[in-house]
Amino acid sequence: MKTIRWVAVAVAAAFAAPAGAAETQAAPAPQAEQQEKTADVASPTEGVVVTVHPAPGPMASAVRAYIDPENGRLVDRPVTEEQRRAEAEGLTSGPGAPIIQMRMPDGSTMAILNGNFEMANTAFRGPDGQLHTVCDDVAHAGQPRHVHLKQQPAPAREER
Amino acid sequence: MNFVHKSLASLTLLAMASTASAVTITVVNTDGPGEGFNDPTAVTPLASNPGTTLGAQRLHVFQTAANQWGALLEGTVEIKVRAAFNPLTCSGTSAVLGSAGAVTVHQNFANAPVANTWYSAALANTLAGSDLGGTAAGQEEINSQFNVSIDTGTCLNGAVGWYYGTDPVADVPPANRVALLPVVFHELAHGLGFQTFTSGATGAFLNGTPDIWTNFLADVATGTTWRNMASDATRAASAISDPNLVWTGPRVTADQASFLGAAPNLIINAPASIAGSSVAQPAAFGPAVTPPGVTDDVVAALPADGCTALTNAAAVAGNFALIDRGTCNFTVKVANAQAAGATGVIIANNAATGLPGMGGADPTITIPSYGVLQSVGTAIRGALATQTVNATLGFGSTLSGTNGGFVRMHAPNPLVQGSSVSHFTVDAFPNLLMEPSLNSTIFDEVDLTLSLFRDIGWRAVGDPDPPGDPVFANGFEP
Repeated sequence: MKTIRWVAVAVAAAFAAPAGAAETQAAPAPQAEQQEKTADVASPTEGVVVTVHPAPGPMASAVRAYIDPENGRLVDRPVTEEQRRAEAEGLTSGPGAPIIQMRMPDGSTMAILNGNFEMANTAFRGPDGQLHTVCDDVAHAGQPRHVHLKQQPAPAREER
Repeated sequence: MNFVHKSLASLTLLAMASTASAVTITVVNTDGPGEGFNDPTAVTPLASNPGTTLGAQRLHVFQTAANQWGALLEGTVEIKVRAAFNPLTCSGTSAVLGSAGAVTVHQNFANAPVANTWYSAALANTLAGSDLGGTAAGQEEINSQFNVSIDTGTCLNGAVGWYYGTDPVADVPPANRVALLPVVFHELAHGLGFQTFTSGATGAFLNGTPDIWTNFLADVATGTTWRNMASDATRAASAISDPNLVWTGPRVTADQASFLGAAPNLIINAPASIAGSSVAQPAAFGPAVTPPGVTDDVVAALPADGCTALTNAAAVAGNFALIDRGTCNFTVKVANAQAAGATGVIIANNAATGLPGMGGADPTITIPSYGVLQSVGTAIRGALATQTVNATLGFGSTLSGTNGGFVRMHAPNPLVQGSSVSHFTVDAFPNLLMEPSLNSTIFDEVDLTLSLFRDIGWRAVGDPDPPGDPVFANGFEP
């Protein structure tokens, strides 16, 4: 239980950080994924070690994931006060949201993507009046062509 | 040409013969009362959708798409797809249709084929034989949402809503509706593992660990897979290296001939001095060229850009017209050539590299046309000064959408986030389900998508027993 509570605080703290901040909680331990408060964590065979990584890309749509401190499971609503505070501060998941990497009790590793890498299908009316579709990342889905992508190719084939 | 289309009907017998179990894919409805999948608005049932409410019809489409994938893939662990209809971005000219992706990725789980490698949750669970992320609410494997605003009639001028039929033959999609099933079918494939988690922009692995796609993405020029490339920068360069980014997986490579046609080529038959075959881009308008192609002599059109009525119609009539790209639309050029009596059109590019796009729409055009390299156009025009040129709008010896014997992945420059890398090339012919531009007519054909799934670790229903993918048993991993 102590382990799980600590995990919940670490995750909530990660959500409370400013968007885009480097939240990797590197520890002095040899394993880069170990958290600093290893004393509060049961042995690696029992505990869940959490590392939070910043994610590439701008923030976009909201898909939330939280850890329930009572059972260590993922849920889609904030459970602890820290998590509720973090949500209130406007941190959403989606491209750019922190990716939470967890060492599982069975020795495997899981990364909670929090909306990163989702693919969006966007439809455009081409100059020919026909509907054309293209897969975008969620961050750019539905947006008109804009400068920072330079000469983003049109979804339809050239017509002249 | 005969293509193997793995539709549901053809796979039924395989499913019955195999001892393996098709995976169960369940749609988890996360909409609130009275909205989205729970919308109580009464609607008329369709031949291929028995739902009597809007919500029920939406759910039927979703579950149909899920069942289609479930019937194709083996697994004993239920795959849960979190799904909702939400108001997403939409305007008169563009709209997000929907999105999907894996909720989690996993590495070093029980039975993981490749160590220290990320796998999408659905595939990881299937390989592990257990639900690695848990089974409670909020712990689904795939997240998805689709745009409820499409049904307001305010998105995409002229589109009145989604089309909820699941059979394009029994229920022909109206021109003013957007077919939902192909979109869901395509997006679910991403969630099931048709994507890399390596950044195309930076080349960086997710949290420093490669995903299973990096075993098979490769640069055809160097033969190096993404996993083995020396740096992130090298991978980032590879992500924009059309036509050099290829998929080297053995299943896709073995199956490509069953799903891809010969690449369109302009074949110059005479004179011998310029005879040969070169890549060509068929027009998006006019009749499609079918094997063995169409052959005729070539006449250079006047004016050379074909943007006004041809002044040498008498010479052009009964022959192919050679026209330069530029100044006006391709459809205008071909229409003018058609009016002059041309039997086909060859449009030479006006840039040193690449092919003309040959896009556009004109239902009045009845002759075929190909776009060709600038150098080819120049050679033809030069030969025409003194000789008769005879050409065929035909096909080459290589398969479309391939390079070096491998199927190409989408790698345009500049990078297109969300499209690049995690899709097959747009040059594949016939169209593949997992190209970046959705073919709205693909309702249940999975083509090379299923082959790629097998490359990354999925077992298809009907794969031979006992378990033990011969690919990995033979040590394909580089």
